[in-house]
Amino acid sequence: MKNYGSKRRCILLIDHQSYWRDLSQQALQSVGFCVRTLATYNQVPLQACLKGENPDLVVLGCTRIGDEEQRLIEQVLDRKQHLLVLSASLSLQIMRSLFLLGVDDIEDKPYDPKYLVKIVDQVLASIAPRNSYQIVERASVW
Amino acid sequence: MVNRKGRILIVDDQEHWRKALVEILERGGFHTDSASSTSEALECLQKYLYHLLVLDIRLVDIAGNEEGMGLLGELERRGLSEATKVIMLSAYGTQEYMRTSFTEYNVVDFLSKDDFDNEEFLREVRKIFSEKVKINLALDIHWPQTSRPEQIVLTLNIDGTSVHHDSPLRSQVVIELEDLFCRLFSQAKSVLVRPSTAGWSGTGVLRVQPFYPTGGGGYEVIVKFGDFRKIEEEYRNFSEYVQPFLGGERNTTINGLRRTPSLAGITYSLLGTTNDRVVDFGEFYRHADGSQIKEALDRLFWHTCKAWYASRGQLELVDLTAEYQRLFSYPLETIKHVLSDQQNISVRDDQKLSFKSLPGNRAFTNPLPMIDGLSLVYPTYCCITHGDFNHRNLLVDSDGNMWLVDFQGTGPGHILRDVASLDSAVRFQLLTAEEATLEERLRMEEALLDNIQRFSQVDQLINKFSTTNRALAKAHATVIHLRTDMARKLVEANPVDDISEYYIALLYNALNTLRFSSLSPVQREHALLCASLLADRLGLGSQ
Repeated sequence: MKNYGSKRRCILLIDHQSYWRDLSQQALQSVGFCVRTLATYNQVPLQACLKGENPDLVVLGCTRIGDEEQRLIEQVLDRKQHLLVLSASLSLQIMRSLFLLGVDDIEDKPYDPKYLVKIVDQVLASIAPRNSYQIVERASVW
Repeated sequence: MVNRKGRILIVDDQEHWRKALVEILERGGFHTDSASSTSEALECLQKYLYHLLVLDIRLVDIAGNEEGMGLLGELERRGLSEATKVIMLSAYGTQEYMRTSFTEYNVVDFLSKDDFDNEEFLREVRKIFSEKVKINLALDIHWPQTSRPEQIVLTLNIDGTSVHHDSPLRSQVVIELEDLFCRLFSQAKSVLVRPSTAGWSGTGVLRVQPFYPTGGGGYEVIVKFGDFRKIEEEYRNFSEYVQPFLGGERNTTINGLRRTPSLAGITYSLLGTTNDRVVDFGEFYRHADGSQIKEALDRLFWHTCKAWYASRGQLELVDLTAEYQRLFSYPLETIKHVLSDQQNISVRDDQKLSFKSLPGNRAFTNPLPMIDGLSLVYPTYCCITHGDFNHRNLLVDSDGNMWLVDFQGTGPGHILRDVASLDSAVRFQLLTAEEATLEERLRMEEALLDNIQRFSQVDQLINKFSTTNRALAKAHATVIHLRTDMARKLVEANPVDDISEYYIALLYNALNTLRFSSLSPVQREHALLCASLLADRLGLGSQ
């Protein structure tokens, strides 16, 4: 894992499937991330986690992007959180709509846990504004 | 009625797609050009301004061809991706192309040709103009009657080329300047532009008051614009050296930064002004009396810039010659060339100068050979300084509060850099050509240097010069205040108490002034005389 500063990076991992949740948690923790997991899309614990822990990145693992997932994605993005989506079923149309919503990256599921670590690293690295224009734009929006 | 159009470039190798897209977009009110290859597209981008590029991935119909992706990379390399947004359009879209386009190249959309819908495409393009390009093409810009954009851009230098009356660059930059305003004030309905003096660095400064559709006018802001490299450097300096020192009171803040292909612009807000009447220090100086000037300078040094000067480091050895040569970044040959062009100055054996407008045939030391290869190292302090304290970069409101603009030269440096720069601007620039003869100026310079070797002696300067020339007396009094109340206090903790470090700063500022072609001969001769006297005072000839 790259060193992004002294603060330990915090990931909120949301996945219904315990196998993938545990596997991803172990992979991310093994390289030093602080990982909090959720097995539910229920709003109460989700909002509590987003507000209380203010994660650097939310990772959503799912089998498909249905209405529930769509709602969750919008709620996470409404809170100006960065989001990586891992889905077992992705069409180009769905990918496009997610990118247009503001999702930071989208990957296929299943995935190799080592690959997940790499993608999380890449997303965290790209979160920083790329240039002065983005810094000013974000400052004026947030 | 403003009649600007959103400008779009279609890049597709298939003619029927180019024609179809042009037809849809022109029907939607956009100006559209098309290109069939990467080279054609780059040629168009070089010549014209586009807000949006609609780009096919496969520009040659061969499996595996991805020229469109290559063009995306080229746009990024040329720094155009901020000014020109991109929609990818492809019959060969894959997940990987889409991911790369969004995550690496920040495209604004990725559309498939397979299920292309004309009306939906037009809707998407309009949405992109409003949400991503963020431009108000209907902005009503009221330029000053005396200074139209065609005149305003003549102060600019783009990528090393000055904008001239007859150059093709001029019309391109005029279009870009209007476009830049439409981006910087995308939420305004109209803007009222008022002139401001231009900086020295090939950039422009304007005062702009926006008016909003909801009614009412906003506060006047300062717009700094020019070559995007210079403006981006200014923004970086502001972020690194100004923003961390901003407190809760009066501040210059940046509230906008936008780009066109060649230009960039910053909007500065002057928080805490008592009214909208903000003038540059030059105009303030002309109308203010001595006590008002002193009060404004006190606020500038001990209030506006207090945090910088209070954060000076430890006493350290500083190579002042290297520091000032780097700051002004001119070769000695440039100054020698300027000197050889001065018809009122004679140079004898490269060592001595004489001035035709001075009585007698007094010979002065030529400072130029003296500084060649010089290295003057002094114990002093460094801190963050503005780096270009001239009268155009200092703004004053009617209460005498001061704000800074233009942070291109801002960064760590010699603690006396700013005060020496302003000291020089007062004598060589604010004292106009008509206000004093060279002989009068020489008398003032000699009085300012007379037997003063230590900072603790500068109070003696106060009674060393008298004149009935009011402009000269005003310049002298201002300079005395800068030396006694600013320069001395900034380095009063230095146990060495040697004023030479200030003289070195003044020497390089004087030499730098010789390059200002907009100054009159007498002002430049004054600067050269001053440099000559300083070279003698520093004993450079004997080093």
